[in-house]
This record gives sequence, C-alpha cells and structure tokens, in this order.
Amino acid sequence: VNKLEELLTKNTPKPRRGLHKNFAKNITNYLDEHPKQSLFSSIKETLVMKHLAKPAMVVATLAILVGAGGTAYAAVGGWEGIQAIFGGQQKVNNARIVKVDTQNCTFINAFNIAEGSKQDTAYYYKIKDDSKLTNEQVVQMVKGNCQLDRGSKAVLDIAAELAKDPLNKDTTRGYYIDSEVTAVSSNSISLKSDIPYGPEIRTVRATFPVDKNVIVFEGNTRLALQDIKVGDHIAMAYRATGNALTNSETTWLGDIDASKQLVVTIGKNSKDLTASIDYQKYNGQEFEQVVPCGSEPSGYCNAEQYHTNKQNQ
Amino acid sequence: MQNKDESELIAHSLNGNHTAYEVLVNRYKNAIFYHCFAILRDEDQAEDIAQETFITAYYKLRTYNPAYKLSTWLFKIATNKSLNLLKKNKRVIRGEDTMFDQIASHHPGPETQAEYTELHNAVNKLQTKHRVAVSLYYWQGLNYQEIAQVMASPVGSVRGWLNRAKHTLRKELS
Repeated sequence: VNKLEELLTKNTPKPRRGLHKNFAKNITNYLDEHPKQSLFSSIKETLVMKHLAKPAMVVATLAILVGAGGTAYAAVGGWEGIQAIFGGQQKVNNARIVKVDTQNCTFINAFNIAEGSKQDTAYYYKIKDDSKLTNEQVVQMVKGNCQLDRGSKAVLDIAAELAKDPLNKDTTRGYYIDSEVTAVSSNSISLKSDIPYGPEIRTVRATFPVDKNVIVFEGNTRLALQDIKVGDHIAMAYRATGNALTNSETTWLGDIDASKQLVVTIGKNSKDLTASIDYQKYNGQEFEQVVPCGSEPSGYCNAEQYHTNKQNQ
Repeated sequence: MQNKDESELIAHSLNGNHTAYEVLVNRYKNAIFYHCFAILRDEDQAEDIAQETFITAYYKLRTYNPAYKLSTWLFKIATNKSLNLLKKNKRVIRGEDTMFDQIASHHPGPETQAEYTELHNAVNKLQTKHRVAVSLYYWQGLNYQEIAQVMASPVGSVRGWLNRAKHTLRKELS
C-alpha cells in the first residue's frame, strides 16, 4: 500500500456534526404518517438514459442503423478482423499462465495496452488451479471482450445519432445488447438478457413492441423481422415516450416498463460476444490478467498493479 | 429486533413493520451520511439526502434484489440522489473549508494538518465519478464489484476511475 492509499484510507472526511439523534425515528414517523401514499407521487421522477452506461450494452454487427423515418443513425463496423487465438500455456505455482494472441483488438480495459494504441498484442491470464476454466474459454472470453469494446464505441456513436433524429426529439432512447430472443411476432419481441454486475449475472426478461418500420440487419445485410428466430442473439435500439424507465434513483437494470419501449432497429449478434460476460463474471475470481515481468519469481505480475507502479515511476 | 438477521428485517419491513426498518436505518445511517457528505461536502444536504435515501428505499424495498448487499443498494440510491442534487446545485459547492477543518482537527501537527488539507483539496478537484469511487472504495470499504453495482458500470471502468483518480491525486500532491 503506497503512501497515497494510506492517507486516503485513514482519512474519511467526517462531518462536523453527527446525524440528528432522532434520525431513524423521524424516518419511521414519516412512514407511519404516509402508509399508503407513494413518495413518488410527490417527487417528479427523472428519466435518465442510464441504460447507455450499462456494462453489457454493446451494439453488435450493426452495419448501418436506419430509423423509421429513413434517417441513417450511424455507421458501425462489424467484427471483421478481430482475432484471438491460444498462444500457449505455462505452469506456475497453483496456477497456469495462458497466453492469448489477438489481432485488431482494442481491448480498452486491459492494462497491457499503452493508451489503446496497439491493436495486435498478446494477453496473459493467470488461471487458478482450482478453476474449471478451459483455455478455449479464456480465448473466447478475450475475443468476446474485444467485440464488447469495439461495440461500446459504436454505442456512443449511435447514441449521438439517435439524439439528432427529429423522430427522437423528447423521447427516451436506449439499447439492449446481446439479448436472446425468446419469442417474436410481427409487432412484438420478447428478450432474455444476462447482465453482468461484477461476478453476479442478472437475467432480465421483457417483451417490447416493435415499430412497423423496424430496421433489421445482420452484419452488412438487410433482413426482415421474420428472419429473426427464437434463440437468436440480437442487439436492439428503442425509443420511448413517457415513463419508459422507472425512477432512475432506484432502478436496477430490468426495472423498466418495456411496453413503452418501441424497438426501431435490430441487429443479429455475433455469438462470440456472449463470452464477454464470462470475462466479467470470472475476472478477479478465477483468473487475473498478468504481464511478463522480472520482479516476480513466477515471471508474471498482476497487470493492474504493474501498470499502476509504472505510472507512479 | 436488533439481533435479527438482515433478510428477516427486510421481510418484516416489507410487511409494514417500521420498527424492523428502524433497525436497518440505524445500521446504515452513518455510512450513508458520510458517503453523501463526501460527495456533497455539506452536512445539512448530506443529512437530507440520507433521509431521502432511506424513505425512497422503504417505498422501493419490494424492488430490492436480495442477491446483492442491502448496503450496496442503499449506496446506489444515495449516490444517485447526491449526484442529482449536485446537478441541481449549479452554484459553487459549499462546505469545502468545513470539511478540511474537520479533517485537519484529527491531526495534531501543523505539517500533518497541511498535508491532509492538501489531500482533500486534491480529492475535491477530482471528477465527480472519480470522487464517488474514491469514497466508496477507500472510505466505505466497497470492492470493485460492489462499486460497479452502485455506479451501474463495468468493473473495468471502476478500476480505471480509481487508477485515474490516484494518478491525478499524485500529480496534484507532487
């Protein structure tokens, strides 16, 4: 622990005074006096596009998103060129090091890329001996993460374009990424989404109305809604008016009114993307990213710590 | 009631037992108050937001997912309420000197006092989300995963924010 961390840890900013001595009692008194009235009837709910910041939200394989009015929203590249292959393994104490060679992977959350500038690089992962993760799973997780990060950038581009479209004026706009289709008809689609919150995975299910002019893509190919089948993985963008999201202050992803979210675009996803969820699920639990270094007997250092130290030098 | 398990207290609260909820409030009130204060830097506003947090949580308790810690959920509500208030308060944030004075008062020597004042001056210059992450990680003891839940962001982003916060603080303090 360095000096800065020690300073921070030891010095919680403390208010000059404590809470009112009847703080808790005052709250329960309020609740006693308002047993039925919803607090939110008196508080204006703020709708925030928090969806855009969610971890698994990536628009995948959408070549061009076109709105119902024919407006081109954004040009988004597909997954072409992203590669991740097994590069070998090495036994160390209580673990193994797995090397993954990648191409065209701007893996922005990884620590062994300097400012995201290198796109062809090797990543190293230390897998605990008691983990059941296979080398193939590790490779797929990395590939999924490469796609996730490329898609994250696409989301930002599309968000900006959606906001400009007059059709979307005064509406809520958002995305669902890598959801599995559980039912589909000419005017609605039901989705199941696994959303990672750190090691936890939450499953969200909802049914959405579909715009009659919905635009459907797979890669660079235009499809019809009928081409989307149960079991497909898709990304979708929606617009909504009114209270499409519940109060943002307490909303876990999934606490939404899906019936008010009108699907305007659908893109069939790469199946590989789903592996990125495993990355978030197991990262720090069963594996950690490492980098070759001379200071550890094993020859590998924790990537985060290594780069933090490097920044501090 | 004090010794009851948290899930039992939540179940009682959901059934309208306000005494059970009072136990939960007492359990987390200081942590929430301190966290709000770290963001807002004003005792009165922090207490108001802490109070709103517990009232909101009560009315939304049925939406709480017990797969997560109750404290994480409360921090999420408190953080969002505090950030919303900050957005509404476009004025200069009050209370900076107040916090520094209080922090400094825990440390006797003038040199140390200056050091701590400098530290928290630097903390207050951080981007809001970096400051929130610092508060949750260093002062409330949440781990990366829990902060990710509170801030509805990937773990990698949380790690990045904390790294950038530390980098900024080092530069400010050097």
